[in-house]
Amino acid sequence: MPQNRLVLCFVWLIHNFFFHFRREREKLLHKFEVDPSNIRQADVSKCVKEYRRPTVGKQDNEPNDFRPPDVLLKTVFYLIDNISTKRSEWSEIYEFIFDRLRSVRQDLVVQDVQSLYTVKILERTVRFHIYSEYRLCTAHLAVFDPKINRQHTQECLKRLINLYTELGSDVWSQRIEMETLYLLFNLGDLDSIYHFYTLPDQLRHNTDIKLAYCTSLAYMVNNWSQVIRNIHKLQSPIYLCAIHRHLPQIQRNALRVMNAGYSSKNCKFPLEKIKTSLFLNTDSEAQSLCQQFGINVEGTFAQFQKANFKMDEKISRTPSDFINDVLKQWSLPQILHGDINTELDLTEQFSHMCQT
Amino acid sequence: MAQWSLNQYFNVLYDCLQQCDGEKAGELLSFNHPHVANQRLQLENPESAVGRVFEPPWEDIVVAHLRCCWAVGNHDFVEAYNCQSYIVQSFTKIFQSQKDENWSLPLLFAICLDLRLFANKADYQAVTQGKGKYGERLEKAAEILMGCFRVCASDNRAAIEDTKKWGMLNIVNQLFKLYFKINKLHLCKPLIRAIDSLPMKDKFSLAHLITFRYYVGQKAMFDGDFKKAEEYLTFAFEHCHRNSTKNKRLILQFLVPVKMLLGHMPKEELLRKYDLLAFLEVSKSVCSGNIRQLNEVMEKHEHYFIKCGIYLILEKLKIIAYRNLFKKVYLIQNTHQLAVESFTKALQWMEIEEVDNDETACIIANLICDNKIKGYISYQHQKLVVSKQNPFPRLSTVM
Repeated sequence: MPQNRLVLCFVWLIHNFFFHFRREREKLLHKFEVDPSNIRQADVSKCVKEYRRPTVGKQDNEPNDFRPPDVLLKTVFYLIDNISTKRSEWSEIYEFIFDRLRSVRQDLVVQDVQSLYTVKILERTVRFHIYSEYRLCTAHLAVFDPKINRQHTQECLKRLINLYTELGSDVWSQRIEMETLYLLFNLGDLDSIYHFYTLPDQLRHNTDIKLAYCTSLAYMVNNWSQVIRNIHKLQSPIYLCAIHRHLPQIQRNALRVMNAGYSSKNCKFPLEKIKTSLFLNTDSEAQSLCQQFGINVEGTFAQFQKANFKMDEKISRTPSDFINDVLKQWSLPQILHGDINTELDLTEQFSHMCQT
Repeated sequence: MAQWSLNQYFNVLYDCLQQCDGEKAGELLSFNHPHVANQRLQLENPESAVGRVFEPPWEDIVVAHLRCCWAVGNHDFVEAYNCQSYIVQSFTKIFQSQKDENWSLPLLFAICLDLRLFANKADYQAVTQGKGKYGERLEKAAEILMGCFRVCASDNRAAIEDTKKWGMLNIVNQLFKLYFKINKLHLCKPLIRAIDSLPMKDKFSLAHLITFRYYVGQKAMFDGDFKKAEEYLTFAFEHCHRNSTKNKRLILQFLVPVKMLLGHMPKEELLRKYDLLAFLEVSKSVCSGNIRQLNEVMEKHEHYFIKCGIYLILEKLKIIAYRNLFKKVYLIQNTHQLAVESFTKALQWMEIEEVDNDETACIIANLICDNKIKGYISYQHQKLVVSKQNPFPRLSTVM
């Protein structure tokens, strides 16, 4: 047997060599995969199999083309530990990692791997996509397509959630995180809420998941005050990234309802309060938002008038200072691996505060 | 009938098929008929006996039916399901070849009904024996029924009295039952559209129309379209036969929460009559604005409410409970300028977690925006100023 394995390894190495050689010849190498001293030559230790669309008639059932699950997980670790930390534009890193993760998932599907490896890989993929959506929220459509990114996030989340049930154990360490993410990512969505009801009791009563569920409900009935309060309670940076995509809708609805509820000629409403209630960064952001929706601003106050509200305006996304500050507390690999022990961190912070 | 010999059974069935008597033939192939308990008809391998009387394609169906009787006699529902799915598939082919006639519709209904019931039982049996997941056969059965549905729906040429389209609603109802069981509600949408676009959509038998409206109403409720849900479920409730108490109760399970959400509270006697006392507690707490009690009731009956899928509606009912609570505050204070603080106090007394003036104002603003309160909030004075005329309009007028 060991001999067989050796031969297999050897064949595999040779195969890989030719595989990368072909890409080198056809100039398909990414700049993260080449030898820095000679950009036309592949650095075999850095090459990662790229995603290729399965096309009709293409012979791709060559078993050597597919990486075994443990290698796939190692690939994902490599991407997170070595590529995500590169000093490049995130859009460039995103494009590379997105493509390579997609090919990892393809290999998983072809080999029909449904094990802990799949779970670990998908969890990292979900975090990567959710993080990227926040990081690139202001990027141009040519660089980052939020719709495609969402589809991939959703697909991975749904597969994970099915896997957790199929693999039959409720004690997967990260399940709580992923179930929470599913609710936050799909805030106010009926399917995700009905899914919550099907969870086993101990998950349904878990603090994180319950918080996400309550936030989703609050979002549904437009209780922005509770939503924003809950956002401040979310401890993991990835949770914040997931909910961030709903902020424009939360803010728009809140402004609409405030405009109706506080509608009176003799009353005024401080911009500063709008800023904090709507999770905005600055008063001037609050001001321009009000003006965008046809709400009169005088000095540092807004004047709500029911009839003036422009219904059709859309709010564009802006990065949040609060979320940025939270993100800064961890390194990227920590965030993407889910290596965040918030409880520990809090006690550390607390003891630090006590000392000073 | 229970004592028939095999030949007697064959002869009666043969005559029915010859005379195109779908009703009677359906009975003779249905498990809702005493002949299935007859041990002389429960045969593992009836091929040679059947072959002497019946010709293909009916031969296959009769063989499978007798084998199915045998399987049911042995409580082997997995095998029974396999036989029944074979029957339905073979019959679909015969059915399709019968041009311009629809006499066999009752037969189709009978075998489709059994297919669904066996699929359910077989899945349960497979799960308890550790031989598969729940839903596998139900899903497969839905596919087979879809085949029947297509044959019915595509029968465009026949005259109105001979068209197989009369079978659509029955099959759709069977499919609804399957889709609701396996939780694939999105698959109902094309079926609803197919029925709604039929010119004869109101001329089906009342029983089928009631079932149809019951499921469509339920789906509308899940999708958050409460007006439609109310309309459909009300039709189902009002037309359901007065003696089918069980069905009426099932309808009320959804109709009561939907009605409450639209501002109509149920009468106590109705809930008592249909043994829906959990809702009595709900409606009492909503009426009195007692959110604390509402939360307790929801916790107490959590599993029941989640099982029937109305937990989310009850969460939404809280808005109405808020409105009723706020109305009480207004009535007690008896003034048109009310401090936001007093509402916050009321909410805190109801043990709403972490509530502050901001959240209270947010809830009030929503109520104003939905026209449930007439007035405005003044931020500077932290007061709610309500209209002098009818500040809390009747809920049923604003929903």
